[in-house]
Amino acid sequence: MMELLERYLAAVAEELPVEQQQDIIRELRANLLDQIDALQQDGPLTDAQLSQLLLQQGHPVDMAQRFAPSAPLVASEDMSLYKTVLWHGAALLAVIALLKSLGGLILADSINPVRLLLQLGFNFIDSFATLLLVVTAVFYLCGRAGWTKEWRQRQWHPARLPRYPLARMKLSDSITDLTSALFLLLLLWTPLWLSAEAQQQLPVRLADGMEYWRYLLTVFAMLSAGFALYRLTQLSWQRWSKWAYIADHLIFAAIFAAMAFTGGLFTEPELLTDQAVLFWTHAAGSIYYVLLATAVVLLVLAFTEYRQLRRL
Amino acid sequence: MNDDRLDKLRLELRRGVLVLAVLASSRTPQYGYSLRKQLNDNGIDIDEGTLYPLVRRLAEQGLLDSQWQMAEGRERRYYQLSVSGAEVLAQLSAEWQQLNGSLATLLEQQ
Repeated sequence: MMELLERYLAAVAEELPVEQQQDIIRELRANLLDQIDALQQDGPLTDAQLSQLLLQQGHPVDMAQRFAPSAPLVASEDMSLYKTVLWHGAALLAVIALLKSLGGLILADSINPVRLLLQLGFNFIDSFATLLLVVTAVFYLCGRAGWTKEWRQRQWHPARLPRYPLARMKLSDSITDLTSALFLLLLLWTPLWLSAEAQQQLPVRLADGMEYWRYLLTVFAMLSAGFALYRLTQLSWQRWSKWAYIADHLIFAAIFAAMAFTGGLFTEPELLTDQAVLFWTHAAGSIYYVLLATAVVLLVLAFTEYRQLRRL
Repeated sequence: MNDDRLDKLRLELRRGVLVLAVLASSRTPQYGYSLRKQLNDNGIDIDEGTLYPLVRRLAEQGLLDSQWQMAEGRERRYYQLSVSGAEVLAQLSAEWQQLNGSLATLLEQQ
């Protein structure tokens, strides 16, 4: 009969931290033996009665959790930020995986859609697994150090709460801007993550004497990323920060417009593949329209922000 | 209101006072089963899976002192209110009396 009790205790022990196993099981055994003694006052206990008693205690996992509750890797209060970071990180990785797969496509002798999709999927899963691990580890460590709580309660004072809903800085906006700036930096510095072979066979490259655009955009992309990081520490817009945000949009709009009107920015690669020939025959001109359209979108966004600024 | 929801609300209501009940019952040395029996006899029904971990937690917080002793041929862990536990019990008791009085007035108004 006691075998059932020992099996139950062993099952609970398995779910407990090693350093607490002996002490908790010793106490649980003593308590259960007392209950068994009480039940045996009316006669010897049957296996069925003992089973019933153990069932009343609950599942071994639940029992172990009550004695030694395990702390979650990410606190429930941090879940919103955790999900936002993962969501934006996943979007960025999906675009990078797509670019990598297209890079592989350039090198391929023939196009196989199934292979392309598989490559895209595996590229994404591979990098997302790393992202998940890193982000979870960062949240775990920051949560234990109490930094995420400090961040949640940053600048908390009723007087500092935004007067109008529009004055509230949206977390998702700041993370989107940070992601966009990082993506631009990745596009500008393909040698850092694209193989040299794929790099050589890209259908376009910056023309000679146009390298300064890369450095100019790098400087402003880094400033933009830094400003987005700063906004993550703030609760509401101030007039100066709104002005800086508008300036950020206008500078990029001006750069993209200037690039579109300058022309001759890109040139054919040294090694002209069939895909590159196809691109230069049919699609090369569209680069400048894309740049111009981006500049217009940024101007519209800057104007929208300016209208909000007047209400701050 | 369905029974499930009522059970959950009842559980929530009782959970808050369990610490007070356990501390009050531990003025004299108690082991797990005797403590549960004493609470049950006084109308506080609590399952073992909740009581035993709670008692350990209170001991870890220094509100209960604990000691293993041999009794009736078997070892048992006895718990008793510590000095700081007695102070906390006095404060919680006063809080409870005040809350109970206020609540009684509110309930009488209905």
